[in-house]
Amino acid sequence: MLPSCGNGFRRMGMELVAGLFWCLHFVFGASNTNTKTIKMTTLEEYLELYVNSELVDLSLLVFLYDNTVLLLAEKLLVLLRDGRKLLGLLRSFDQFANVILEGACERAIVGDIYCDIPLGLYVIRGENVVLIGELDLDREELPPHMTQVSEEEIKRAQKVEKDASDLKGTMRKRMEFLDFD
Amino acid sequence: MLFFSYFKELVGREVTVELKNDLAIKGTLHSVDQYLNIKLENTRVVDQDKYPHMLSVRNCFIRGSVVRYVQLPPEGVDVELLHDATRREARGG
Repeated sequence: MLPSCGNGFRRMGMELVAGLFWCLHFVFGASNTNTKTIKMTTLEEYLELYVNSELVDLSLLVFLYDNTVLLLAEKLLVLLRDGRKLLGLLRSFDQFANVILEGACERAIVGDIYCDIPLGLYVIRGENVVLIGELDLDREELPPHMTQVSEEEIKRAQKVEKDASDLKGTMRKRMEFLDFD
Repeated sequence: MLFFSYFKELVGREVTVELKNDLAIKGTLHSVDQYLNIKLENTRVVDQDKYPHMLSVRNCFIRGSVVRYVQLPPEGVDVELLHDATRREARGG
């Protein structure tokens, strides 16, 4: 992985220029990111755009060993081992699936109601990650019958749900002597 | 390494990945790595109603450590080849 910043640009080797080509192609040609598609023909045009680029924050580009470039601006859904669902923009990751999410929020769902609780910048340790899903911006995030409620309301609903499942647990325990399945 | 190379052969096939939290996801195998982390494309959750938050997830990365089963297409299993490979592995070469 190579560093990518504006000032260091001139010191980059020629082999990176090829990667650069690819990266601009990637950034401006990518289908499910919020970027425009700009057609470029010459290398100078690419470089010009790269240097003057206001559309792309260069710190968000990760240069991979095989000349491909990753744009770290995708909206993700991260499922954790405790069942929590976090949404946010991918800002960094590594080989352990440690992830940094910017503007993260937790999506709490109870039955047909849900709430997005804002959290901020989150660093998630990889061992807690179950799944990282790319969100398709063209599709509905949730089925239409689900309604958004306030944070207090969802907390209350979560508590009710937890109490119910606890009760179920203790009932089972008390009835254990009956030895039924 | 045997199962890593085996899964690499299955890239592009439709598989169902069942996780330890009982979530089952069907999708096209896009890639797999040494930890048996899995990337799926065109995913859909088998029990959609139970997991509404997965509705808009098209592509996903699954951490290898949370996978319980990978259900393979029947034609993706070459028993003879697997026999040979496991025997070779057991012999240590």
